[in-house]
Amino acid sequence: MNFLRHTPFMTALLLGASTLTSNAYAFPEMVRHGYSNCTACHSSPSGGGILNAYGRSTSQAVLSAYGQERESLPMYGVAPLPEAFQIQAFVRGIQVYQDTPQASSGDSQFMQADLSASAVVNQFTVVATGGLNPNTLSGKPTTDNKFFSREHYVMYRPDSGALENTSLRLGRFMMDYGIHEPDHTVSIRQGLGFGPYAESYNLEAGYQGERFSGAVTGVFGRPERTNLKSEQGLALTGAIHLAEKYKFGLSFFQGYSTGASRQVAGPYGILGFTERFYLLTEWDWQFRHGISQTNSGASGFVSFNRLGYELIQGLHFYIQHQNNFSHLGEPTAHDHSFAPGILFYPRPHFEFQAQLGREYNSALDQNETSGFLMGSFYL
Amino acid sequence: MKRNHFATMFAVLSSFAAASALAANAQSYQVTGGNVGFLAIGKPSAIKIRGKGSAPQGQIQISGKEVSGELTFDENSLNTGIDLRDRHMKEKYLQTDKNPTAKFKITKLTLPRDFTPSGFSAEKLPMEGDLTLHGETKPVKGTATIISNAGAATGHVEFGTQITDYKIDIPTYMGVKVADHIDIDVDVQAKAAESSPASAPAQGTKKK
Repeated sequence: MNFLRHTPFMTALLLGASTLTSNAYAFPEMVRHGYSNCTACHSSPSGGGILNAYGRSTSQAVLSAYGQERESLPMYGVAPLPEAFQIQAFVRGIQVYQDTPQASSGDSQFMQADLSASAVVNQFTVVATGGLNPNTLSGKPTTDNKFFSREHYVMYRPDSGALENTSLRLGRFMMDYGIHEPDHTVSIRQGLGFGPYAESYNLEAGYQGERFSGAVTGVFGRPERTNLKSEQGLALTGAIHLAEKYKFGLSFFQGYSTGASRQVAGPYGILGFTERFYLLTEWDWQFRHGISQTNSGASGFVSFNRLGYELIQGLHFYIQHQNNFSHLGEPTAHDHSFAPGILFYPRPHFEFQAQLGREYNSALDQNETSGFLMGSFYL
Repeated sequence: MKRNHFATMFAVLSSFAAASALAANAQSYQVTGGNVGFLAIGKPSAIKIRGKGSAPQGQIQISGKEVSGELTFDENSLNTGIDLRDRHMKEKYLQTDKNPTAKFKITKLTLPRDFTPSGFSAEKLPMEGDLTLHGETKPVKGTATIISNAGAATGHVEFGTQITDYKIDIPTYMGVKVADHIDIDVDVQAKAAESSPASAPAQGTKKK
């Protein structure tokens, strides 16, 4: 049996799967239903993660193909909690496939298994997650802790007065930049270093209004992990909401790590052409400095475009294109991929994604076929 | 003295003639289509809730430069895109089983000085009306845009109002509360009904 030489994409996918921390699902395309701000459904202003009570209900009413009114409740409503308290247990697994001129292979793995909880007391929200290292789940050796918390923060959100629609958040979470696509292997996430284990300790001030939204985030890295060369810096993002179906934004990040710095900037758009037809698009430029002794800097570019159509409620077809030019001056660092896919939310608590497409591996100068089937369940 | 008397009489007769001419052009329009919509904001998170309903029914009259009329609207036709939300809106808040119909009566809408009965367009005219919702009637103020041509007319009316003015509880669901203020818009298409001359005498009346 020939061992497969992993392509960058395959490596990224498996690395992402094995190191966990894919953020629980975010649905930026919900903008087309008038949900311009992620806090409509999620505790986090940047989206993803634990759902609030309204988000639970929306998952049945708007997202899922089928479902009963109470079906979306935590634990199916078996142990009712006050609306101010939410819990969510989340598991995710993936089956990947790759076909290159050299060989074909497949692999399956647990990606995530954790428990999230949130509590709203007056104008304060507390969120915490705790989970198992997926290598531990898969019975694989790991040097990391078996249990860890990828997200925990306190947030202050005034509900009236001049500061209504603002938020102040302190703790560990994914900084707000661009589109929070839940597939962390895509170019605008993994390609920019916003993939697995990217949740850092931050202080974020945000605004979620009718026409505008944005955030300023001070990124303090992972001070508790001195062995990690964690990145610190400042992130800025702002967006304008138009016609209740379009969101256009700009993001910027200045990062510093030991011996290196970078700037990342670019526009994004979430366009709900109709209630069924939508486009997610993001384009980012990255300028890295001091990355090695022989190469003082590099410019790169990533892009992500997903054109989606919701055939029936809960069943989406999409076509997706990505560019990952990590070093514009280096022809062997120009990867791009094209893939059609399906998103299926059959009932509340269940999410599936399947994708199969072609990728150009610039390092090997060859085209490859790769795909995955991912399933998630949350209580 | 005699000249002044004739001049005065001429001026009076002229005004009667002009008024009669205008009054003779009073026109009714029967609503044939359109829709009613609203925009409400859910807080926190500025959730935009847009609802649309069927065409209103009724007549619009243009008499001289004054527009009047009364429209009725079936509240059960409202749709916000989410069945659960629609059900709550109609059953719990609007209580359409008791109050299925909303009414809108134009009380003040004056056309511009330069309008002509045969065809005109006017944008964002100040408008006042009475809205009856949930069994309560309250005055509202807004704007109207009207286009009339060859016996047909289209109109677009916008105004804002407060939910609680109509003794409707503030909708609240799963931590999201709708703001008291909502914006309502009404689009109508109408066709001229049979011309309805005013009761004033025809032009050319002579004083005996």
